Amino acid sequence: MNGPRRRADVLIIVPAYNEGAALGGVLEELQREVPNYDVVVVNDGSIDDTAAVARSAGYEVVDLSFNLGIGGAVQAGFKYALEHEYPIAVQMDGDGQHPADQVEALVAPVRAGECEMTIGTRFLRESGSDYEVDFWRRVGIRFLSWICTTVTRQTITDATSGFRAFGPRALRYLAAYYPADYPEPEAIVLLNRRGFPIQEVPVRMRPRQAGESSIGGFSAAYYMIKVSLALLLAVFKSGPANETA
Amino acid sequence: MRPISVLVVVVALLIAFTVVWYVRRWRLKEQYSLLWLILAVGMVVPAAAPGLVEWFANRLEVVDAPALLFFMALAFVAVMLFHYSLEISRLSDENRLLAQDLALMRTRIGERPDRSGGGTGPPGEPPG
Repeated sequence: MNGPRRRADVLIIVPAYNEGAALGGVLEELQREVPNYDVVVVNDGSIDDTAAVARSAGYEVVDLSFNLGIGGAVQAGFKYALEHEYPIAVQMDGDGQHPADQVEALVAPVRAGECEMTIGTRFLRESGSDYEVDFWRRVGIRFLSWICTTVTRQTITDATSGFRAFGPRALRYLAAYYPADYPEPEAIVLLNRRGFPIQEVPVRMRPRQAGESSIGGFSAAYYMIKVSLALLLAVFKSGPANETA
Repeated sequence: MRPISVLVVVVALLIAFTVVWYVRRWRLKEQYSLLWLILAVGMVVPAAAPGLVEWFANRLEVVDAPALLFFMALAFVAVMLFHYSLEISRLSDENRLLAQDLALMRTRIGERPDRSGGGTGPPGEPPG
């Protein structure tokens, strides 16, 4: 287990919190669809067999001692990518929502140098998602996307999508500065403010295969308020200049 | 000296004594002890010189002089609480960095976390 384990130029980061039931299928699909890419599973302090599932399938696991939340887990993945000098990383949920055969579509614009982040969106006509997002969730996503669109002056349709690819400069920046909880919309604003080009890519998504969504019920309203505020404050956040990031 | 002044001085002394005692036992950082010692001293001043509060209230056109005292006390508490929010933010950031560094380091050396004791989850999870 010593030394650099990098085989490919793309690292797929799979954050997983109690996804033992779905993770096996996700990893199998990755092996089938993108066998040439490296995969790291970030076990976010799960209390189920998430880490064991990943290990027994032969995958590298970054095992957090306790639950950091999606932001802290994904950032650990970014740091892993930096440590092993991957120029490109993909973030992909461990619950089966994100089909592995869509990874290449996300990676292509980053590899071509067109942008530093791609966001997989369910809400473009070409997306062809085969499930309906429920009404209130859609309203929430629309609202956050609207804020992102306004702030970045660029059309964002799926601000909360956690299916993304990152280029080397974005990786280095986000490894140092990444919002802790529910970070996806805020990352859009932060990267945009730093001058990193962002592209949305239509992707097909599925309903989650197992487990619970991290957002729902009473916490949904709190989530919306918190993220909206974070988005507006992100505009003013300081950070390293683009060149040094 | 009015009884209330005596009471205030006693409470202030109690605060000062408590602060020093905890610092001596290594359970309170000097940094925080300073804040509380300032509070203790700050309490004694208006008790010792009630005219001072009156004078200040007049200058600020506060009709009810004691209201000024309450305002200052609230302001002190608000500043303290904000200071604690800053500290908590810093601590949780550092906590996150440590957890990430530890996990990455463990991955590097191929070791697994020991969840048998002190973990956040229930024990008895099957080993990987």
